[in-house]
Amino acid sequence: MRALIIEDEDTLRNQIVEALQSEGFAIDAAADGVEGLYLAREMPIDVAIVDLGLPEIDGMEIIKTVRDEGHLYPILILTARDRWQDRVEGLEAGADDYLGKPFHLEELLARLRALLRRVGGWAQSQLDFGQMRIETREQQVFVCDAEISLTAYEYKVLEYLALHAGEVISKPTLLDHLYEEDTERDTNVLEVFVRRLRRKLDPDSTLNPIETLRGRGYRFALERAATDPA
Amino acid sequence: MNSIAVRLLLAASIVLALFISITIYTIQSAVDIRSEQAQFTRLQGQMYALLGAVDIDADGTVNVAVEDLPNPLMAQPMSGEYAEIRDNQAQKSWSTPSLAAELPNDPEGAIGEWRYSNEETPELGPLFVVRFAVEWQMNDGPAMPYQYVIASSSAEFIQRRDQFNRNIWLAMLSMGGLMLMLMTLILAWGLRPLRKLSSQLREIEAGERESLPTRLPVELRPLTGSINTLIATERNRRKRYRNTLDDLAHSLKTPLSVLRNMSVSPPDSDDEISGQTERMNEIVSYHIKRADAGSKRLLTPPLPLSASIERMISTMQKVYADQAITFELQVDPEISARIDAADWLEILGNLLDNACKYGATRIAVSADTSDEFTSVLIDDDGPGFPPNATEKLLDRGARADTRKEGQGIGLAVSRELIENYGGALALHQSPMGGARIRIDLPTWQ
Repeated sequence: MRALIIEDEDTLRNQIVEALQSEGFAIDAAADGVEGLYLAREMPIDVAIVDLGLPEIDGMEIIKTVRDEGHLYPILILTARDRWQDRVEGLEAGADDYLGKPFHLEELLARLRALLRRVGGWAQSQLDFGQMRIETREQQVFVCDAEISLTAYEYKVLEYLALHAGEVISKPTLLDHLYEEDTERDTNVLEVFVRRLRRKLDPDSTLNPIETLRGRGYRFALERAATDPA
Repeated sequence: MNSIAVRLLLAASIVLALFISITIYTIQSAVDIRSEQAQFTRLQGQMYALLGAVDIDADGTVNVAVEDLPNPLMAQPMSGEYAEIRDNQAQKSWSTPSLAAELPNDPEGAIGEWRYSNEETPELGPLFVVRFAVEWQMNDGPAMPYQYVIASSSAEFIQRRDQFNRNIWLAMLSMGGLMLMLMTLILAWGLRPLRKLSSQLREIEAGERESLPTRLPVELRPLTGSINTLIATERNRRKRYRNTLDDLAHSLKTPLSVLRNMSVSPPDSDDEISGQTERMNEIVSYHIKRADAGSKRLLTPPLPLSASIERMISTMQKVYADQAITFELQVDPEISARIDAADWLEILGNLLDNACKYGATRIAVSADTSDEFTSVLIDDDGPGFPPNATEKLLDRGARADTRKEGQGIGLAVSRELIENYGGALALHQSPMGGARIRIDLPTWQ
């Protein structure tokens, strides 16, 4: 998952960046409105965290511009102003959730996960595909109720594909959303990860959770469980 | 132009100028018509006298005895009263001894027709002239036409008329001037309460006065009433801010000292640090929200209630999307109340957020209005309020640092905000099984 963070307070921004990186997010970060708006427009972002009181361009302005230009990724507002009017205006401008300062990083992460699940239409933290289950909060994967041990990177690939279940995700897109801009990218590495994932999740090739569409990319092929526990 | 006195004086001057001009014109025309009429009648009388006095011989010689002249002045040279008779050749046949020159010739006019005119002559000056043509029956001969002319100098008349005109202008202008002076005095008197008011406001600014006096003209009472309330509100607010800052500083210093001591002797667990920061956060938000509430709201325009409720419901649906809460809105869009939009959103936000947070799956907002109160009901199917806890939940006296964990300030702040508008907030059991919050706001008439 690729997250954009626009926050002018350096210490707070670095804390958020560290917390998200340790959760496996690829990060784009900006300290002012101009750079923030540039990244918000140009990067393949999955979720954005925007502080309202920013130098150069106000956070509200960034949200409006991004929405006017048709970007649909979820946006979470971060602000010290905690009057309801500010929250209502922020959400009406196109944000999806609101977190008042000060906040716990765990709360921020929980809200981000909820927003990302909502994109895939999931209401709860558990992604249930019948025989396979992904617990996004604990980052655990179960196949037939047995926990599968995955590396952080393998989990990231699986979670991204599962949240976009049914969609064809090209290899460059997948890399865009998993790696930061300045890291070395190699589709061969990705193929290795996917191969390992398949072996771990489906050693007998009965489930076949990840399809390869030649020349186009990957698709998470499992159907969502019919009975939604929520 | 930006002065009431200047505006009124300017308007009065224009009206006065118009009034004076029209009046003078009317008087002058009336006087002119009447005096010309009088002149004509006088000369007509003399003409009749002359007609009776004239005798014309067969050879056309005109004889008028001096003692028969219509006006004795006609016998004195250049007396200003003249008569003349012209024959059918328009040649002078006779004239009075007063006439040294000839009167202006004007042969027009039928027999028996009166002709009156004002004429200017080089020798005799301005004249009133009456001409009358007759036919003289000659002995055994044909009837011969003659024109009788009587003239009277109008120099003195014109002089008197000019004098009259000058007098009337003088009188009118002095009257106008007097009226403007009076008007200025009346204005000064009438506007004195306003001048006094502004000097009193300056005194308030300078701190020499507490409030505006109440003994004032009735027209100004609503204004001074509002100003006095504004002053009181402003003073109150300042006091509140000062108190809030004092409270804030006082409440923050305790957790701050705990934190400072932790840097000397580190705590056993991180929980203590986060506990203290959490406490500081609660203190800050409590005091900020309280500083906003607690002063009487003035001059608030009416606000349609349902639009804000809809906005807040969409907000809640977004924030609590995972909980799939059903909202029911039964509020007539016509229902309004005098409440500030930001305050109303704050109240709704606090109350609806509580309902969502405490696990409601259905929330209904309805409203009703009577002559006295406009009521808004927020019902939910959540756990409801714990029995006997309602007073504690609404208590606004408790300082944030004495509040228990999880005891939100939303309800207390909402109640304070509503009470600022002369309204009330009450907690009940909802027929839907959870909590019912009833808000009563004074109905906007």
